[in-house]
Amino acid sequence: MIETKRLTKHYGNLTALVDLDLVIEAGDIFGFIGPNGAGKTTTMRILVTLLEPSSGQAFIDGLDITKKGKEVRRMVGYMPDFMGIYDDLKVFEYLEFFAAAFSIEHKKRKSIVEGVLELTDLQSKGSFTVDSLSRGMQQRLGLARVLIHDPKVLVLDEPASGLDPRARIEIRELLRELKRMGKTIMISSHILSELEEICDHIGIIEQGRLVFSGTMEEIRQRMGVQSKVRVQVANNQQRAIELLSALPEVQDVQSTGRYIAVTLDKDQNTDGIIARVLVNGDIDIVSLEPQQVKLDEAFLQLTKGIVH
Amino acid sequence: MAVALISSFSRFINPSWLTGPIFDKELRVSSRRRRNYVLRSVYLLVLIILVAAAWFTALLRGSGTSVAWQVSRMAEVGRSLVLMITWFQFLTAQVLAAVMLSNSISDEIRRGTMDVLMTTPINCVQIVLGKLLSKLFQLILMLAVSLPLLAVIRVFGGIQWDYVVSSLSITLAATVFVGSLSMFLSTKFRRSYLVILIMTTFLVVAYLLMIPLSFFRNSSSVLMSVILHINPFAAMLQVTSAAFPGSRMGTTFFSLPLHCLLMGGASMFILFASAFRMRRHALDSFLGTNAGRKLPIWKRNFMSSAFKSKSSFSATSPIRPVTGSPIFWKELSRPFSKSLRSNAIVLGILLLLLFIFYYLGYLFNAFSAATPVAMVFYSMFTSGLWMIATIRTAAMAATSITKEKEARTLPLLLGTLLEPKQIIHGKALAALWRNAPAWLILALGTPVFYILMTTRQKTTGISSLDFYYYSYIIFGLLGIVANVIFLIGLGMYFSTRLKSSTAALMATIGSLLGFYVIRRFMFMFLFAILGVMMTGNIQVALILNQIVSIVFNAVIGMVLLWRAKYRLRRDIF
Repeated sequence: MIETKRLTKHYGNLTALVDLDLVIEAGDIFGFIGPNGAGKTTTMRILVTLLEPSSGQAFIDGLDITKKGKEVRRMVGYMPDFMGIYDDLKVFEYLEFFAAAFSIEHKKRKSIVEGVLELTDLQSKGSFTVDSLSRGMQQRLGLARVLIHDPKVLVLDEPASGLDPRARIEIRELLRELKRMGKTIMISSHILSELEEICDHIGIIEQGRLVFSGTMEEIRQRMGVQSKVRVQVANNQQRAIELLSALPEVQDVQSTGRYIAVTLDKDQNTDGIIARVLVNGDIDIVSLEPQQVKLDEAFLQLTKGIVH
Repeated sequence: MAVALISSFSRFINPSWLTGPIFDKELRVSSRRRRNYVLRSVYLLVLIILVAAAWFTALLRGSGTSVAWQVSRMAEVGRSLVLMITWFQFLTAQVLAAVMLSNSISDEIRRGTMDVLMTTPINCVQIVLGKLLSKLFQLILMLAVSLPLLAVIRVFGGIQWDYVVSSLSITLAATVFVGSLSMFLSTKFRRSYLVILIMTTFLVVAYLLMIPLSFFRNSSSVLMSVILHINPFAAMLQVTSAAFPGSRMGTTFFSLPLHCLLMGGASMFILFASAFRMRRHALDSFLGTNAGRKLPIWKRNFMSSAFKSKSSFSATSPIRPVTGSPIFWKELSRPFSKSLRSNAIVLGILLLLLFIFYYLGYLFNAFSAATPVAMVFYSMFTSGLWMIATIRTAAMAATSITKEKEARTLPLLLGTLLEPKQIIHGKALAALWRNAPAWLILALGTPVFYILMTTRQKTTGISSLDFYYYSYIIFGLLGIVANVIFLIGLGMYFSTRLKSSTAALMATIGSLLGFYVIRRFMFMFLFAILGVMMTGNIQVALILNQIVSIVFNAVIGMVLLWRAKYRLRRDIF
């Protein structure tokens, strides 16, 4: 659905994007992460035709964004990182204005606006002025605006930034609903744990270069990240550490208070071995929890933290 | 006790306490802003152009060529140059003070730095004085640039130093007053261009108050004396008239120190009011509410576009369906501009004023060539209206795109199917529509005035030049159309080029003045070369000037509109 080929963008002497190659399949939620100034927003702005690339190509549903700008805009909904509002308009008027801007017929506008208000749970706010809404509601209104012309692709730049936990959960649920509706969603966020929960694919960008693109499973494989297991024993913790350290699959064993953190060489199923060794050593196990690699750990390992 | 009182009093009158660290910070920041240096350069450039224009005009007026004749005219030229410079300083300083202080407080509030300032030991008076004095310091620096020029021209003679000192005193007093007022308005309005528009209207009204002075010069009434003391324009006119030999302005009581004292007192009052409003804002901010001072509904509706008020959430007004061009619809969603009815009301009021003017003119036989009072009044009325319409139209065009940039809604707009052409046209049409009553009155008033003049002069037996009158009417109408195209084009261009509304407004108004100066040059040379030298007919020269102005305005306006359309997608962020 979205494809970029050697996409490059220069701002004067600054290079924001370098030969970015990206593929996002239809119906996917693609999480786009990177440090500040990595080029996420620039990529998104190019994809929604607000910026022209210095070189390279980008396609949305096979349409070249530089040649078919209007057609691309028809099928893309863009929510910028800082959402602008017309503070002197009411919520209903605001959405109807954008419906008119997307050339939706006058007689259809009312039902469409009501539909997106219902989807975003803002039905009761239609007659409120936009600036009287809370930040969370304004973000939902932003999503409602993005959906007004029923686009196939949604490009959302930090849609959950500055929101409280409840509002973030609501936005996340809404995104899941949109995925069920068949939308392709490209989303950037600094809250990596959230992306991990909702995204099918992840792209990590740094200094304008894509350093990784794939599923979480692929991240683990690509990084060769070790699996971790957290063990809690009822007695003789020191003896347990000695036994576990002797295992050939174990790379590291550390005591972290009540728990023992065991780092394994590869992503392999060694829970059974650990349990057998401990039981044979007359150590009572309280709990044994495999620890998955988190996105933020992968992010830290894959990026160097260098910004332009 | 006494020691404590003396200590606090001495602390209060200490200049460094009065201004606090704000003054220092403002000066530091302004020294890093390129636009301040550009402003000084432009000021100097315009001053030089005006002096050159005044010099050449004075030379063209004369017919003598001998050295003795030239020397004898030096005093006259010197006087006109000094008058021109002092009036230029007087007007420029006030406009710049209004512009420079238009966002002084609102910017702090918008950026959220006001709350931070309020948590420090700096008090509101220090903030207000620090900001005012730092801007005044820059203005005084700029005024000082022209002092050497005045000193050189003074050698020509023809004018007393008293006049220069008096005019500078009035200029300074007026600048402090206008700056204080602008700052006060910036505590009320979050949009600086609104402050600038209000201040411009205020200055135009003050200018219009000079009208009575033209006709009641010899009056010794208390009213006239009061006007002279409270209106800087009137005071300046008084001082200027007194500088001419044989002036008849002596009968009305006018005291320069009293005028300066009154202006200074008014400024102090406004400054304290500004400090009070700031303090109230801080309290609101800390307490998180302004529920204790809810505005009445009419005032809330009137000011909803200007105040940063979140109290307008109630669903009292109906939802307006979007009809026609969405951009045009949105632009007219503001109070007092959204409906045909509001425009019709303004138009009706202006028409009534015009009708009263014409009726009184007929009643007092004012349209005969023998009594040019009608022409004077009409010129004042139309020039006042023209100034307001010009500033409003240019300002609305200049802020139309920058408002979207400031509100970060431009990317949303450009992400829709709307083409740049549709956006520019919608905004341009809205700027025209919102000022339509004034332009319509100017368009209708001119032909009616000329027809009345012609008819009246025919009945009184004075020959009239029908052909030229009708030419003036046609070219006058075309001139208004071309002028509107130019104003909107200029404003829209800067609106697409620049990021902030204040910068766009300043650039538009500055360029407007520049264009008018250039046009004056063009007129001067055209008048001299094409009109007088080739045909010897002054009427032909005037008509030629009108044609050139119309073509110039229309072509430049269209080109700028085209450039605005082209640039819209280039400077989005």
